[in-house]
Amino acid sequence: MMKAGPSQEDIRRHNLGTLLRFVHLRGPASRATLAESLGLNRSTIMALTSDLTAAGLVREELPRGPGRRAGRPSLVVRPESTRVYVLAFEVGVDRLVVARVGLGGVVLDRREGVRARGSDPAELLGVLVAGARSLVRKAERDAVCVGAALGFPGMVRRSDDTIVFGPNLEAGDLRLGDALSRRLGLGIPVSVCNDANLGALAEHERGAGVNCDNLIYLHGDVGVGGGIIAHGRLLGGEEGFGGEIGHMIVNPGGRPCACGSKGCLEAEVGERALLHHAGRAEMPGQAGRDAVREVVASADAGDIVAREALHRVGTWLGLGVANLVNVFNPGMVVFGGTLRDIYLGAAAQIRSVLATGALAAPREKVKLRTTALGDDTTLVGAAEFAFAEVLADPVQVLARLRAPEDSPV
Amino acid sequence: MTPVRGAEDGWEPVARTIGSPALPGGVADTLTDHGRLARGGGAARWEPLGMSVTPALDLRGIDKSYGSVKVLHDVAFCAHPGEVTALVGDNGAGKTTLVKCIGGIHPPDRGEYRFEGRPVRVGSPRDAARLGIEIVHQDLALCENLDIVQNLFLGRERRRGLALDEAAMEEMARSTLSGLAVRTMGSVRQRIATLSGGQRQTVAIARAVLWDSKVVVLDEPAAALGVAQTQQVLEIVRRLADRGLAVVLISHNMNDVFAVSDRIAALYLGRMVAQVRTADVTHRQIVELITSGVSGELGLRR
Amino acid sequence: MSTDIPEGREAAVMKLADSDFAGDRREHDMRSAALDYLNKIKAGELGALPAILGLISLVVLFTALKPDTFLSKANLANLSTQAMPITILAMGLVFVLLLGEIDLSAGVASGLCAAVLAKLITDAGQPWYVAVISGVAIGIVIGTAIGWLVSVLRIPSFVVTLAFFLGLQGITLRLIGEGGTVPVRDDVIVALSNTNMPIWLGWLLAALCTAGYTATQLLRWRRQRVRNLHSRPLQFVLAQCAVVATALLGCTHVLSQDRAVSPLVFLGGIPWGVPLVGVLLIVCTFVLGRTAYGRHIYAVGGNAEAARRAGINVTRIRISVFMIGSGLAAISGIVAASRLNSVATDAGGGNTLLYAVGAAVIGGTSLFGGRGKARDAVLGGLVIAIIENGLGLLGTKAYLSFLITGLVLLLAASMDALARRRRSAAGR
Repeated sequence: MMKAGPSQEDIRRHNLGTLLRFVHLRGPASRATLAESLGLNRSTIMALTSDLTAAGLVREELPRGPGRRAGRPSLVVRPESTRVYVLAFEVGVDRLVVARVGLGGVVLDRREGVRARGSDPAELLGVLVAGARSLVRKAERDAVCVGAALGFPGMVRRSDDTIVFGPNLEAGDLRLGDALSRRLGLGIPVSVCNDANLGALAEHERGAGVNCDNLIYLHGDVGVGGGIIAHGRLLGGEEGFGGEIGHMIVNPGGRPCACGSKGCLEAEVGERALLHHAGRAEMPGQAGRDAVREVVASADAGDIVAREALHRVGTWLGLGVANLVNVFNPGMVVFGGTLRDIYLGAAAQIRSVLATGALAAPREKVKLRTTALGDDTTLVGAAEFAFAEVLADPVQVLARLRAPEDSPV
Repeated sequence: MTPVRGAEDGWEPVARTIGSPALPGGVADTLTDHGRLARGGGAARWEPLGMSVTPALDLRGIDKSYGSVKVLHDVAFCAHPGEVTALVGDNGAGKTTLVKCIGGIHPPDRGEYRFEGRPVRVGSPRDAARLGIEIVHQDLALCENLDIVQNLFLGRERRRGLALDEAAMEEMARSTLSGLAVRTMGSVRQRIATLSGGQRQTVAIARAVLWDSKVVVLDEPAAALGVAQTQQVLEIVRRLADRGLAVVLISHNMNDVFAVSDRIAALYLGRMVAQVRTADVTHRQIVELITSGVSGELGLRR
Repeated sequence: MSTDIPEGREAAVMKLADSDFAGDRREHDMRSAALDYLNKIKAGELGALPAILGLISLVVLFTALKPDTFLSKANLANLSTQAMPITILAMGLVFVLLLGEIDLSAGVASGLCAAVLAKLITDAGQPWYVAVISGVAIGIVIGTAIGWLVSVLRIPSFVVTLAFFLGLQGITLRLIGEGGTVPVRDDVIVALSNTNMPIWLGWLLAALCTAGYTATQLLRWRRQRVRNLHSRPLQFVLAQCAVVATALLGCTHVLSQDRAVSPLVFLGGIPWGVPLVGVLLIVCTFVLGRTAYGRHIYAVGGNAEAARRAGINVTRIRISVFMIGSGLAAISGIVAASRLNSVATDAGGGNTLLYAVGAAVIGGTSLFGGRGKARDAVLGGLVIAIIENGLGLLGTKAYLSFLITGLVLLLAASMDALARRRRSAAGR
């Protein structure tokens, strides 16, 4: 064997991963479709499928439905959604979600909880573990959990999954993933990732940007997060802190930002800025997504203060997008979270600023879209992130996980 | 960072509809409205190649009068597959009449009607439906006493022998709705009477796209809807285009237009004053086109 | 530098969330299904509930007032023949009412058709089948005429059928002669209401119907489950089957008993007219619920403009329901003639129509169009027949009888109107 080239084993592993990834992302497919799409011959497909079937990752079935055509129907390969799953965690600013997501991206079951502002990490951990345990308990007997990931609205160091900075969580450097993994006792690590980065991943793989390899996702919550997909990969930078679009300075000397700077995109288009411009900052009980929606609704009903507020926020957002378009030349910019509502409420202003502010060449083709996954972008992204390992080397990973049959759950 | 340029020098003139000389038919087929019009306009550039697909709908030189009242005058209008074309204009500018011409409800008096590149005659709504042109009118025309599945298939029921094939219809209905990423519909067996305005609009749109339509015209789909529902409907409109349909959206709301459209066609007193790319124009320019028929280099020649 | 997290308490309940089309996919248990049903009722989707409740309370009421006669075997058999013509007439009216139209002439049309039948048999000596076909054909012709006037000339059905109500009475009068009656002595016609099936045949038919119904329901439920479609919980399906089976077999049992006054002869079994009603019920239910034509009737009744735009020929649907209405009225007239052994000049007049409309509405058919089922006619027909029968047993004065029947009809109509308001309020 040559040392330089990939070995037979490497190629097989790669092909297994590619096939599994295909049915995972595109849904059930016939062998014929697989052969055509993956550029492999049918006997290879058959061998790969039988390996995956033996590992319990896919199953082959006769096509369902009334549309039976004449002739021998090609078997359909479908992912074993109920038997192979991951746990996806989302820690939002004021909500918590845990979901059991099956292979193929099916949300099998989920639990939602309220995250009290000012709760400590231990409490947070307790709630997450309780939710996850109740999900695992409901799983089928022979189901196997192949990964877990958590989306967090803060800065996460990639090398050791440490949360370096997170709003609403005064805990210094925090290793939430390790603690969660230990408490769950499933024998799997829990990856931690920035929520907007996961959102970008989700929109790229399952959402609005499925066929778009250069995509920017902007997520609005209390702050503004971002994720950049370049050449189909998440842009993380040196340590994984990259993509903090919310702290791009669009208005030097503008509104003060929580990060200490002034005029960050987050400070100019975030929830607080909008509510401040709309004169609603001081009102009690006015916070979060609903407050933003109310401003948009008032603007639609003709409230001139709300309109003016949206107009101003739209201007800064348009400016931010114009900068991104000039720097990255994305094929698509996706707005999620509160920015979805702001985009749909201030699109005329955003596009006008973009039309005048960005260079003509990169601006021509850029598509502005809202999230196709609704409020679940982070969750779906976390699930995809958790699946990454098993998709890279399906058979090995599964063999390793199935080995200790006596895992105490 | 590149300094932000002002509107004047950042703006390049695009697309003039009126007065552009018609090209010989053979050439025009392979060009977009834009390429063609830009050449007529003189100063502008050619459209990038990606846009040079044949328009799904291509109307040229449309005239329409009701008695002695001339409503449309030499109107050109295109809708491309995969794009949302917004049709804007003041009340009485001729939007509804143009839609009626497209849908065959009131065929035009004069002009050329091309569908996917070939000249066709659309003399009745039935002709339009046969080509794959569906119009969702403002009053959605749904039967409140029937459920979602029954409404989707109304008049085109699936049968198995003498009886209805309910199972196949329900499956198709569900796959169509989830294809539009409609998550908020609890059950496809709900009666229309129990649905909200936005959900009804969704059902009406789903009915229009259930039959492999190529062109869908939506007449003010967001009128009389709340903000949240409007947004939901807009996203569905966008999704239709992303699935490859040519979508024509009539709307009064500039935000809605800018949020989802790829092109904007502005009518002013029965004339098409501009058909431009949304990425190239500003809110102010479109408002000027609607109210005065001209905005800077765009619109009617003085 | 990392903060270690202490093992905290496992707190907080996380709630379950909905996913796509959760309403269709949700696993129902008895409790959630019952809750859903309760919500539906609150939202004005009453279904057959009022009719069934009315039926039960009326039976209880009359049993309490007339314990020995009302529940007697003879009276129950009488009740079934009494309900037949009302039921068939109401079944035809359900079609008309589904479009939001009304046919005021259905009663007298049934009288006229019966008169034609009687004249053909008694005076012209034609065999019964020629007479029946002619009677029904005349009914259909009348329906066509009404339908044409309503849908093509756009005259309100109220006016057209009021005119027919008067006109047809005149024709019947001319046909039979002032104050006269024509006797019907044909064996087959008379047998409809006056002769019973053999006991074994009655049981066989009842068993077949029960088995057929249960099998259809269960098969449909299974198909829906297998293909992951919207389905009701199995317990509900089974409960419904049990109710139908109890009703069918119970009635067969009661009617199979010897009800003769004299101990020397045997009188028992199901009257021949009952299976006729059964067949009509099955056919109408199938047409309305399972065919495209039936679907179009509901659509036109719900929103005629929407139906027109969907490519449905509204005119044709309109004419056809009046044809069905009058056709069934003709059959109802024949059954009534069989019961009375004769046709009088006032056949189908008086309160016949009122009873039939009342039956349909009490059963759950809306006067506003678009809602109703064939079974409504059967349930409502039974309610009306029980009222008529019970009041007769009580020896109530005629004026009171009219008053009470009128009140019941008004009650049913107001329930319809109220339920409609509930529904539009529930539609957010």
